[in-house]
Amino acid sequence: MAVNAAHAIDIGSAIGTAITGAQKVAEASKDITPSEEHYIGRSIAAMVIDRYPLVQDPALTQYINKVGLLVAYSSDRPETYGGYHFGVVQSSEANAFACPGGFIFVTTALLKEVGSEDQLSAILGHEIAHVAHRDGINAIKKSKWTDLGFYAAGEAAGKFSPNEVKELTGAFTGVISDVGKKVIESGYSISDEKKADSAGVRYASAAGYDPNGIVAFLQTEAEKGIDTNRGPFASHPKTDTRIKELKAEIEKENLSRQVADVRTNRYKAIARR
Amino acid sequence: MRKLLLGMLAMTFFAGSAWAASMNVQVREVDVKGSPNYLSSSVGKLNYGAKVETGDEQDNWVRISQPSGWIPKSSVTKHKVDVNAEAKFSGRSASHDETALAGKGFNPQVEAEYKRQNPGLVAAYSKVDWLESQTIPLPALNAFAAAGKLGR
Repeated sequence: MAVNAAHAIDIGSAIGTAITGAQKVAEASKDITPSEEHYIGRSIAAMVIDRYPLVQDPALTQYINKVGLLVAYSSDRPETYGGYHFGVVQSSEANAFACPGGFIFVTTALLKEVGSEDQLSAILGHEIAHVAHRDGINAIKKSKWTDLGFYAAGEAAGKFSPNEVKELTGAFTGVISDVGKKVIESGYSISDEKKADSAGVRYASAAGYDPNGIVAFLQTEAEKGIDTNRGPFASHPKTDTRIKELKAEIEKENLSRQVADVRTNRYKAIARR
Repeated sequence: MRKLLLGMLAMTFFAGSAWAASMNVQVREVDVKGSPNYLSSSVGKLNYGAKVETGDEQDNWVRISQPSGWIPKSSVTKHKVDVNAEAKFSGRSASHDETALAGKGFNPQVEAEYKRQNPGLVAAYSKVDWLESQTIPLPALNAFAAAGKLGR
């Protein structure tokens, strides 16, 4: 999800160089191994937590991880190098962040806006889709490491010489900058968001949740007068379009599931206390 | 005798097709499941770099021979993974294909240097460590799904 509309404008102005840029990005991200994605993700997660304090409430963290893992395990990429980890961060802005490797955060304000576990499941499904599609990693510009060679993969801690570490850390810093801007500031492209919407409802449904929850959430936000094309949804398609496309996807793929009050009740008891 | 030879040939063929490929585990650790479902019980565990023989696929899962069970397809790669290998620089002109699963070398050593250069982030990294320590045992996840009437 995105914080402002800048990225949408960038995408529009970059169309002329899109093919060259896309090729470079694809080449760059191909060089990232799952373990490297994990270490990049840890650093982006640290950047998120540095900006928005992590809520270290074990009960709340366990709850959101249970919902998130059920959805992640039903996704196109159920296994990452270090596994999926879901956290809650303090912020007055309803938002969510998907860091490479599977670190996913939702804000306290978002949990207040969300009305049920089924709604939460589709939102987490959307973020899981960004991880599964490697949208954060695809933000890395090839120029950040064109001059670097390749190293045998693996954790291999303590194996590099001081000079190699210096060179690698320089490249790592550039990568963190690229991915951090995308994850925390500019947000993903409208195309990425549409794909994440579509995949998110599939994942939630496959886990047994009713994905109509995300439609209800967007409708409620719209009725409250909250502009879902601002804040966390800035780079998303327009709300009316999103609702229409999500409804069509749910109907076409027969994704609707039974809603159980017990899920809504436990969400309210734990996430909105 | 001819029938026996044909039978042996057929067995060889089917054995070959059942375990079609050698793959390597590319995640830190993966549970081997008795059936292709995350909520099914584990029959074993494999660590990063483990070699497996893979066979049938079902959705996002692939069957393996040893231990006999299922693992997610995303947990394995056809590329070589040698966790004990010295991290070695392959040269600026090297193709990543020739070094198998090769990356740029971002690892805990690089993260440690990055943290040293960004001391303001050290506290945040410790929170990331805390988050990673919050694991959910499979029985607890199963109980949560059942209590929530999450039919799968």
